[in-house]
Amino acid sequence: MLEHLLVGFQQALQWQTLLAMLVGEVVGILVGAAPGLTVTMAVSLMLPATFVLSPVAAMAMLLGVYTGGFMGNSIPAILIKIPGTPSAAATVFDGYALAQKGQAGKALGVSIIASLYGGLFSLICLVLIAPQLARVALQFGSAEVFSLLLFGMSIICSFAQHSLVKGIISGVLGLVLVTVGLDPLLGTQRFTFGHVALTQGVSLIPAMIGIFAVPQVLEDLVAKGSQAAEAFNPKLSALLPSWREIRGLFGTFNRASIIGTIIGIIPGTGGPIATFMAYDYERRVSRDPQRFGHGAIEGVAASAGADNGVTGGALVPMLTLGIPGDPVTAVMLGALTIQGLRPGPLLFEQHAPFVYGLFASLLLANLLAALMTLAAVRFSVQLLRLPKASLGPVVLLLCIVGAYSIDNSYFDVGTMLVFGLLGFVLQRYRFPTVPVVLALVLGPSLETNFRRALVESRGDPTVFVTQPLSLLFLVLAVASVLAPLRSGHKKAP
Amino acid sequence: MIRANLLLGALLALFGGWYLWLTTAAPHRRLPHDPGIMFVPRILACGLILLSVLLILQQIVSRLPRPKEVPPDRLDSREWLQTFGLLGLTSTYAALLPWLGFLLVTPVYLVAALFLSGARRQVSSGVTAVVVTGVIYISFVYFFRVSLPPVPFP
Repeated sequence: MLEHLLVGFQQALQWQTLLAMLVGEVVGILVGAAPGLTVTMAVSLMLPATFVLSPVAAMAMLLGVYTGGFMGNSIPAILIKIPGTPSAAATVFDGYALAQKGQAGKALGVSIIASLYGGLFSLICLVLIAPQLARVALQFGSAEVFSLLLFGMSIICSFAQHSLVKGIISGVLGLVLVTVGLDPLLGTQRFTFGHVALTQGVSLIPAMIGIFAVPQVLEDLVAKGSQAAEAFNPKLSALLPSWREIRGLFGTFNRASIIGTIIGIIPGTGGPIATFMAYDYERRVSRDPQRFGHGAIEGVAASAGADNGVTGGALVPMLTLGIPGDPVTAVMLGALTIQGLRPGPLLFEQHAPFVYGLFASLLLANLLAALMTLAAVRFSVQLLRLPKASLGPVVLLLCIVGAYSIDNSYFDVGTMLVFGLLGFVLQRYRFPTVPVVLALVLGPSLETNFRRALVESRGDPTVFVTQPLSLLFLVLAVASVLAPLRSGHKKAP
Repeated sequence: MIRANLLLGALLALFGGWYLWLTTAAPHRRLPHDPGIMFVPRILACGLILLSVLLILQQIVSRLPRPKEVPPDRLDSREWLQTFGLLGLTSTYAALLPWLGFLLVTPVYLVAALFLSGARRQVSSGVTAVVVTGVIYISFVYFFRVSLPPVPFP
């Protein structure tokens, strides 16, 4: 393996490969930081540019976009409460709270370090135990994925800050909203009232932009008292947490990276699910869960670590089985095919230099992404120096442009505004908004896998309890619901 | 807060009832062993109604545990105007975008929104509006290759 790794590094360190990676990183960080633009879209846009490159350089470019996007998405999430991509939604909870306390630099620094740790951890797993991990991925049928997602949904109980009933109502409202559009199995129209625009259903990114950013802008507008701009130290040393702080976060980094990598290898899941699960798990194991949602640095580390942990995990089924773990790896699969490579078990034997070149590129891409995002943070944090009176309208404008740019659709802009108003009303009347977002993220897959499991088992509902993994997740889900009831309602975001 | 919760509970129950009624119009097409496209919506509708009733009961039955909630700050008339003025302005801006184009309508929107948000220095607001419009336009159109609503006349 060492020999292969050396050959891999030789390929990854060629100037063409490094240049391609650098271009990918710049695009990835910018796209990740721009509201509304997704990493999948950026990878797709870069795909034609890879046709003229060698296979390793081509993948280095796409991996640059992939890792850069996952690191860059924390910047707007922490600074202006707009998640750059759906998987940065969980970073918003504590990242924005820290920014409001004048610790945006620290939050961004920890998010980058956690992201780097998650990326490297998943890479090590990819290099050392990819075939074993692929076998785990194969254990996940529809019933298991449904139970895993249901367990993910049970996180709602943790977010019910004031009232469990209101928290669950918010989650159900979110699930109701995702039933609008085309039925996931049959493609039949459902609750569309004859409107063509409604057939696409609720677009996730505009809804998330609306529900997070718009209520915050409106609340800031009428907030009592003066809101001073953050005194920000642009020196790199001020961005990085101290060694003592990092050492205290190692447990969080490890837990988040493991969750991110495992979720990443399960096809049909992806970053948003991993980050929510890692965040919730971290809150559960914390000695002081009340801090979560009010500026707990562990919350930022958990979501960022899991987010980038997905990258290596998602490559496992793609390289070993030819099954993409998420939409980005689906595009990468296309890129590999265009380069004349066929992912699968034989790829490691027949094209070992390429595979190890890809591993080396992923390592360099992660390091480069961390350095470049740290550099980008020094400029982006200047945003916080703007007075709130100026920042609010600019954030609203970014929300509109971000929602529009996904599909060039005015319907998405309308969706963003409707969800903004909904978020404002919910927030004012003490309904948590996070369960709505969680339902929007998990809802479609939840229903699809539930019905698919029933179809596959010929209508046998016991399939969810007879499969060991499925049963395990169901038990965890029940325990997750009962825990806050027993502990008399832990406070959460 | 009790009155607001009662009202919201009633509204949510009504919404749940309407949603449940909508699920009765299900197409007959289904896969073998599939519970059908309205199975999950029906469960959600029943759940929503049940939870709404529970929310109402929490307010009126004193023996049920009622969570302590901090009522929202009351908005005075100026804050109402600011909040809903900004929302209305943003909605109007979104509605005008396809007709007037991004470059024409955005600076005007930004100047008005900055004024509503409390910025009173007109020159500074004007410069901010033009610069922000330009930066966003150049970034999205030329860098990200995302077309923004064009000005509909030459």
